[in-house]
Amino acid sequence: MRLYLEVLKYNLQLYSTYPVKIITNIASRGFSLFFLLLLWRLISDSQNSFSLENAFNYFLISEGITTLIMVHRLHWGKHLSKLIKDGQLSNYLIKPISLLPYTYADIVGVNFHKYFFGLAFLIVGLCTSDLITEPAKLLLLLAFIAIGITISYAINLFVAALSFYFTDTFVVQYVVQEAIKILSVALIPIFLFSETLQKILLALPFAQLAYIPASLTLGGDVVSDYGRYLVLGAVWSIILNILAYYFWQNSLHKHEAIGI
Amino acid sequence: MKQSVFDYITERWLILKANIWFSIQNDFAYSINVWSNFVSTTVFIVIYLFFIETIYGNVDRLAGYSKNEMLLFFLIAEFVFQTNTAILFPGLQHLVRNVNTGYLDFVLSKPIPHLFYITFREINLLAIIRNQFSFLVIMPILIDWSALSITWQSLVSGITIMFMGVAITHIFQFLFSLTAFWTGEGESMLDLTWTFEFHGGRTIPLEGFNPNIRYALLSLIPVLFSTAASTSVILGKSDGSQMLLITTIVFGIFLVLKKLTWQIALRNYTSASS
Repeated sequence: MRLYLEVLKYNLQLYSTYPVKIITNIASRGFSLFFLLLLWRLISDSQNSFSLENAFNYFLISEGITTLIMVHRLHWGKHLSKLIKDGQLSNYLIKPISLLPYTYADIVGVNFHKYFFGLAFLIVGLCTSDLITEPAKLLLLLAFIAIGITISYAINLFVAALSFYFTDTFVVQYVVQEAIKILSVALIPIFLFSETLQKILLALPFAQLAYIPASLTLGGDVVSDYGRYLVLGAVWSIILNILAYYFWQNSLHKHEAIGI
Repeated sequence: MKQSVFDYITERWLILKANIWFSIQNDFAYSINVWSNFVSTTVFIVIYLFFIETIYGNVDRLAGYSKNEMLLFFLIAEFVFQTNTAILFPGLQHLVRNVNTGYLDFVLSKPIPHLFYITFREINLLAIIRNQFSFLVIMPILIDWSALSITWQSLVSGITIMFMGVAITHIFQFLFSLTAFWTGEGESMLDLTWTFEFHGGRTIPLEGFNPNIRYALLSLIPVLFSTAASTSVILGKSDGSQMLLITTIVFGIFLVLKKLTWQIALRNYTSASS
């Protein structure tokens, strides 16, 4: 554990040498928030039942959660993909380290400041909702975040393992990222979907990444039975992690290392 | 001796040919990528159509655009994105990495037009076809063309604006990537340009922006030309000749800026090997 913390610290220091990265990241988040609000304002202009204030609050929390659980840009998956593609994976394989936690610590260190923004978004979102006064719901939120982290871990690992088969995974990564954005209901509010679609979306693991935890702040009209979703999330997490791990292990056996 | 126009064109044509040929060989060497990208793009279309369907299941029009018009907007947005990522963007990624690693020295030491070489370093013509095949087949079938008020004049103006817009977006991204010469870091700047492109340029129609933001996104941060402005002109929602004039002026300014900033950046480049 101490080794991984050192790796994290090292990457954080490495990243801090480029303050421009931090500045551009703040700007990027600010502009994406601005454009998303613009899109939602256009929808609210045409749809009377849509409250922009609620949408803003929901966005802050879902954006905060997706950033914290590392599903926002699939950083870890992309990092592993790059290592595989560039042949740098060999450098890790020959070392007496556990590859996955080591690279995970790498990426947490590099993106540490982003988690601060994610956390800031989440805290601001929580402060403007009633959730902050309800400890039970706060605990539930933490449990959903923990489940989100594990589901996100499996998705990142799956995306990374594809790089053993394809040299160009840019389009695949882009599609997975966009699909998660829509299927996790982070882009448009759930009530815009038909009832059947709402049920399907809530049953899929993607809703666990944004909508279900963020909906805790909305009063829970649609998601009232959080316990059921907690169990569902845990089941999805176990299934996806087993599948992703086996896929990764099988793919790793096909890896032809260079430079050893 | 001064280079003749013929030599000028021949030299660039040879570079272009070599880069295209290299990219094609690269694509054929890894043919499985064709299938993965084909499947991914098809999945993406289905998901995005689902997104459009969901929004239009609740509203009749968005920023004055019907569902049919939005499908055309989506078709253009994706064509623009795929063209940029297949032809122009890889060069910028190489540039940033080359500045970081010092590999740019090798490029600069070659007797070639450097800026041209860097711009068209990787031209994935096959990628455009393989990534857009499903798009160009499915989307035109879904769009009810007879319901759109498109004239030949608006179509030609719109397509011209679209291609100039792609070039403007590229130069805008190029300017941001040049920060690598000063700060040593350009990838996050490129990420920032994609934020403008993804969330602004290819999500919201031109008419969805208020006038002040629209002017800003058509001048300082020119991300609306390639998709939003061109679609608006094709659909006859904006004056084609006026938009064409604005696009040409902005394109000219950005072209000059590209050459100027490249020279300034080179003067600030700290070579790794000399």
